[in-house]
Amino acid sequence: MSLLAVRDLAIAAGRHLLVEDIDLDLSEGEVLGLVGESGSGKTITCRALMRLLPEGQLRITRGSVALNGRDLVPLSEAAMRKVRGVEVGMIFQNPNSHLDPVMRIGDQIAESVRYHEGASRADARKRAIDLLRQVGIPDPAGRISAFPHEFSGGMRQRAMIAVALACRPRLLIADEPTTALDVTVQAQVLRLLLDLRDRLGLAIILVTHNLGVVAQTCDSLAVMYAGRVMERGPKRDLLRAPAHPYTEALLKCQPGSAAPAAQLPAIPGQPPLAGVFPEGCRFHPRCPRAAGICRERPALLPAGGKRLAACHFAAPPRAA
Amino acid sequence: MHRYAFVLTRPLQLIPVLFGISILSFFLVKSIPGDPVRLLLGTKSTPEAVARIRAQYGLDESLPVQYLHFLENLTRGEMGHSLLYKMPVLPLIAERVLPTFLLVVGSVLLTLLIAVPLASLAALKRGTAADHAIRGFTTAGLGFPAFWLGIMLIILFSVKLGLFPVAGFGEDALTMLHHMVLPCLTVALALSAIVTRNLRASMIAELASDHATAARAKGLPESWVFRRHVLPNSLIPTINLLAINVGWLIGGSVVVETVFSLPGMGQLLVRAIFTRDYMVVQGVTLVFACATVLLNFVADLLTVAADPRVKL
Amino acid sequence: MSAEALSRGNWLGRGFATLGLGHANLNLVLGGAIILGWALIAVFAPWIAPYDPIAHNLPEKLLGPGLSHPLGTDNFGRDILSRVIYGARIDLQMGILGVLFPFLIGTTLGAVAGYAGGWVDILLMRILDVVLAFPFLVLMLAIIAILQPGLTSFYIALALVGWVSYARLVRAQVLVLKTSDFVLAARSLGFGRLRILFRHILPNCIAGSIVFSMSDVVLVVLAGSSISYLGLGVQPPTAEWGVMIAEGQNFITTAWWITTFPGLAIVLMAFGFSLLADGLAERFGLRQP
Repeated sequence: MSLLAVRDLAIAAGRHLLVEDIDLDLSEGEVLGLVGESGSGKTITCRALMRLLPEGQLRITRGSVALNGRDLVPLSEAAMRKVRGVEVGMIFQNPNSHLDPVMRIGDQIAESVRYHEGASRADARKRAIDLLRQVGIPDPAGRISAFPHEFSGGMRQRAMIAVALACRPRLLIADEPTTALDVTVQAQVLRLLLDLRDRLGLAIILVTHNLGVVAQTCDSLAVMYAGRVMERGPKRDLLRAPAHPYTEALLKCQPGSAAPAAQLPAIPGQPPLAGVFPEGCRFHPRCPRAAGICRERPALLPAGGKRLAACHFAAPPRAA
Repeated sequence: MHRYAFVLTRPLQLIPVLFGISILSFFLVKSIPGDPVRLLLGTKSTPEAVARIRAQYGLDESLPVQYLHFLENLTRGEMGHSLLYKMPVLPLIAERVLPTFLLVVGSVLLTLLIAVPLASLAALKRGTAADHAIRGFTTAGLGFPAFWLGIMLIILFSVKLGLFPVAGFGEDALTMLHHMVLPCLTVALALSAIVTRNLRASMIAELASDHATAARAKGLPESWVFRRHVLPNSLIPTINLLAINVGWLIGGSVVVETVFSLPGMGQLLVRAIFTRDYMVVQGVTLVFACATVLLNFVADLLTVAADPRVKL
Repeated sequence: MSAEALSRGNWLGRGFATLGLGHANLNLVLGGAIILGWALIAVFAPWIAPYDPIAHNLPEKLLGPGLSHPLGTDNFGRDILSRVIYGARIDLQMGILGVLFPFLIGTTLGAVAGYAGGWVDILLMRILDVVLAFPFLVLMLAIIAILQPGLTSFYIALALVGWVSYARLVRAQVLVLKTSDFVLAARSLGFGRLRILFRHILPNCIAGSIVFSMSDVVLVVLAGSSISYLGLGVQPPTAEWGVMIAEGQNFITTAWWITTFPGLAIVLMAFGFSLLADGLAERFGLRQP
């Protein structure tokens, strides 16, 4: 059984569906890359998995999020609190703003231990030191009483990982964890995540718009565009031979791809604005292969190997 | 440099301001129309007596020299004599520090006691009837004259309900406290309007902040997030706001002391103005200015203590 | 925006929203109406007021609110309603003149200092620091002590003390605008310094001062009535709200109406100016300082 199974998830702002038809699967120890341009719905999908959508603005309208076989969508807020931080940890793009500036790092790690496990101050402190050591912060016992602004950007991101792992969750959702960091620090943080995966058997959802990050770290991949999953499957297959034209276009835009840097192509046109998505395949106005049939919505179907693609032209091999 | 190093350096930076305060206070009394000596001796004084007093007080010197004498006297705690009370000004003021001090400190504490719950309620129940009522209070409360509010409180709590004394200051700690309740409440009601308004806005911003979201992602309940993350962060600008309003607070206490006949520095000032007791006016003004500077310094200390990022 | 106006909405807000006026305008309209009302009362006081505000009428002293005297009478038998109506003349005048002088002085000094820079600016900032070190009301009282208690002294003291807020506000904005493109353009066209300052820079930074002056009116009215209450401003028997409250304080056990109604008048006038300030701040896209 997979650790996490998302089925047919849809999120709306008022009457506008921002995200729909989201299907994701994740097993123990797997790293899933959730890829897409900004505005494709990656971040609100992650928030929806934690049921942390801003109240009164966004809500889940359909679908299920099964964690260890239990659907989180119908859970009460109180039951959900026992999931957040305990079964699923979350780290964010900007460690500067997501750590409380006036609380000591150690206390920010310890508070969920104290709340969820009722640990004593001393035990929680010990756990905090241990966690800081695990995420590779030197002199953890000394750094525990530091404030976030006394840490460098990379250290802050490590500290946030320690906060997220405080109650030993099985799943970590990492929302663009390296975007705000220097390139050298990015690699260190990614290595740390993989290291934690290996040591703790952690499953990770890694949200990113950087395919280079994906290539280095992920086992499988889900490509999102305009609120839908375009293609998903094992990383190797998707990167080597993308079935969806959008994945293909995305790959071509990456520096270091086949094309010389001087003529790095861009995908023509603009991604659609939320709520005014085109009919049928949402990529078709920008797709080089678009045809009349693309005005009908393609389903996410097997497209060779273990991959699934939502494109009328990503024909399954048997049909060929 | 250590974060609290400004405790040592700030007094040096304040020297120009303190000089300015002393110059302004000096010229305040110098600009009194008429001859201060004739004022002192009365109109029937002989020219010889006038000349003697002039020499005695150094009034025949040039202005800069007189100012230096003034400064020299100040360093010795010498602020001249009160005509009305027939005693040196400094001890006269010292006798009256306590009620004013209690009034200012008590008002600030009471303000927080009123503003924090109200702002929390309004921010957490945003858009509800309670929020509208609290916002109405913050808009209207700005325009409540403290002296009138004090009288209304007297009518309600002292005259009708008989809960608190109408005026005056007690002898022992307990009766003093009893006498201070209404004056403090008067100032606090007016001040809490502006503090509540400001605090509500920063709480709403903090509730929507990234670190509050991160705290919710840890599975902490909303009450915990509010108490441990939202509240400490939103109180920081409030300290600053209180610092800006120190001058207003002291001015308000002058009026409120008169309303409640509290024997504090404000009442001393008002009486001195009526009786043309200029040395007392000068002394009280000087002390109030220094108190303002000191309280701003305290606010800086509190800011540094509350916000680890701040360096001064 | 309109959604927010609705969510804040009482029935009045919704009414104005459907008329195409946003929440900012609701503040402006309501505040403007209150102040206009007071202005009309002040101008037409002799025609509106049922009684003479000053003449004693001892047989009718200390009457509670009733048919012949809607707000009651004071210890000299004077009609409280008439005195409140006449008081509007004084208090409105205090608010407007009391802001006008500091506004003109502060704006000019702040603009000149910010534009000239150098020692002029340094000197101004030092003076600002010193004046701001004094509690506003205490310094005003000290100045009034030297002059004579009275309305004129109040205006002089206010002009001497109140200009600092405006000077600081305008100076900060002039410093920003001084280096802006359009000022550089004007300078390159060879316009004179004074022309640039008063024709190009000042009009662009006056909005903040105007908004501030509206909330400042509230403070000035409160200061003026407080000082009059203390007996150092407007002198009896003139009908002024602060004076009336002071006179009524001796009778709070028997005649609450003498103090209550003038205070409510101050609150209502201050509320009107507060609403105007909020409305203007939103109209100009400024938050209040």
